[in-house]
Amino acid sequence: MQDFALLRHITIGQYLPGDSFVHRMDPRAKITVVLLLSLALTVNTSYLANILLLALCLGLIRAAGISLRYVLSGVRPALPFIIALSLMQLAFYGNPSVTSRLPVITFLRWGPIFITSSGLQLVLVSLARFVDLMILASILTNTTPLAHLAYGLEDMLKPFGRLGVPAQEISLIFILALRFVPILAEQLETLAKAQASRGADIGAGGRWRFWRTARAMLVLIVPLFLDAFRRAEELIVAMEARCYAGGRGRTRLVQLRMGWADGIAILICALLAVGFIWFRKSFPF
Amino acid sequence: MTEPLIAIRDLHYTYLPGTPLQAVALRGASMEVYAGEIVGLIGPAGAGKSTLLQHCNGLLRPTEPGHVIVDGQDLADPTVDLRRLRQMVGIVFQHPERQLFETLVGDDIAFGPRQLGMSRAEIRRRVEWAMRVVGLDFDTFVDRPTAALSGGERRKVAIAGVLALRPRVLILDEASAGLDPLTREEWQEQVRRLNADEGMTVIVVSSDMEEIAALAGRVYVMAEGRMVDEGTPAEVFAHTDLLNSLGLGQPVTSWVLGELRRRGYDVDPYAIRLEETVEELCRILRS
Ligand SMILES: Nc1ncnc2c1ncn2[C@@H]1O[C@H](COP(=O)(O)OP(=O)(O)OP(=O)(O)O)[C@@H](O)[C@H]1O
Ligand SMILES: [Mg+2]
Repeated sequence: MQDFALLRHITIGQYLPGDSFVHRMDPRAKITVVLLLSLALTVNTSYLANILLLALCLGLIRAAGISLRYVLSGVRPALPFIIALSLMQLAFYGNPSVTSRLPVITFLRWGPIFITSSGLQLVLVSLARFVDLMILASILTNTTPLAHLAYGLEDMLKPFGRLGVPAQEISLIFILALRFVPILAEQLETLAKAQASRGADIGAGGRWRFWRTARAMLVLIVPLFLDAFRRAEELIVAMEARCYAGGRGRTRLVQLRMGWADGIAILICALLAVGFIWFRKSFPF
Repeated sequence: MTEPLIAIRDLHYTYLPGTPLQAVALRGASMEVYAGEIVGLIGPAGAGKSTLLQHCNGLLRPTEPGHVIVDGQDLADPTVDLRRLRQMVGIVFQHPERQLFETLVGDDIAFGPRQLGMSRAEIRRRVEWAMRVVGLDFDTFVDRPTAALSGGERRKVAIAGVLALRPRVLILDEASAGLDPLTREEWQEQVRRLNADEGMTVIVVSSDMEEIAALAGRVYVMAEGRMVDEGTPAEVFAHTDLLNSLGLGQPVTSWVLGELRRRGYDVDPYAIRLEETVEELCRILRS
């Protein structure tokens, strides 16, 4: 019966202080690495490539000193949806474009239901990808303080400033969005507890009273958004009160510095990513 | 000896166990609340007060050692009827103004009775009663949007929403913080009346020691997840060293009496109700 704590338990975006190599890496290097690996992930559909990439992600978790259980526990609330989506994909999507030299076996064909081995491959690969992306996003946000992430992002967007891209503003918006996640999660927990205390169906009954709980949660969306708007307004006032006037001329508390280790990490990951992308059609299965 | 209505025995609780963010909130807390009492609960920030109280209506369930027994039912039992329990034990949470979830004041207060499947007339009666108790005028407020209320008004609506369930046990977690002094006094009077006339058992958490002194018949002091003191307000507030070490302070009446004693006046240190203190002062002024 940990339902309420679960609502609040969001692992992505939560900085976990530490002193690993990954923690000490420059945020710009980390963002680059995550982008490269995500790209590699999204174009590879073969089993072997995904096994290798999964192993790589697990290795990165190890290097970052975060517990795998912690990262995976963040997937749990989404599990019902993932399972439902996977089942639908498996049942109705028998002819996907996946790279594989394995022969395509048709398991079942009956009306709209069409289950094949390549459909199964797509489902399994999608699951692996989902976990990989979770891991990458977790590594990035669990090892980097929000402010550093913001500075990193801003620096990376700066070259586009000439084209009129407001780098500082974009990174600020991104960071505020991330910052609001735990706040909204906490507010959701508060509202759910308040409703439950007044006789609503949340958290009563077993795990499979899913439908009633879902309906009760739906009612919480409106007050949650109202609260978010109220908080956003308060934030505007607070920023104005502290004389925020856009990005121009702002200096920083933290100066970022790229070291040689960051360069090597980027290089290795770039090579890996390019390799995975280049040879995406050459994996044997 | 009668059975306590709520008995918490050696309760342990950890938030997010097994994660890097785990936080031990309760380390063997025990508390007993008898029917018809007003019990005060004080303690520094992070002592575990809110965590303890959320166990009383099954929002948190004992997972580690420890028992929570409400009206003879052990809440560790997974078959407990949570709806019945939550109707019996009503909690007004900390920051009640963040707990409104309906669009209109009337709907928000009526939420509980509606969940219980009551008739329209009964629902209306309860909403009117609850609004009267917290001091909100029915006709003015019932159709107001909750988003258009002041902080203090939201607070009252949230309290009314819990009262409308007519719980046997009313738990107030810092519910009066932020009310203006006059409203606060009226509110205390209402709590006393709910206790005396309706027989509601009340648990009050407050950082306002005056409020605890004025309301509670018995006080628990909590620190670092367990109870460190228990007694009548007069007894507890006489333990100045303990309270000071926890950064809690004492009601001004208690302080005045202690100071007078220290300076050699013969006053009763337990006369901490405002009227009693005034009597004591008059007595030594006369003599
Ligand atoms: N939802 C939560 N998730 C993780 N840790 C929590 C959560 N709620 C409380 N804690 C931690 O548990 C401990 C006890 O918190 P609790 O809210 O019970 O204290 P409290 O006595 O009510 O304090 P306050 O007077 O500030 O309200 C604190 O250390 C807090 O950090
Ligand atoms: Mg609290």
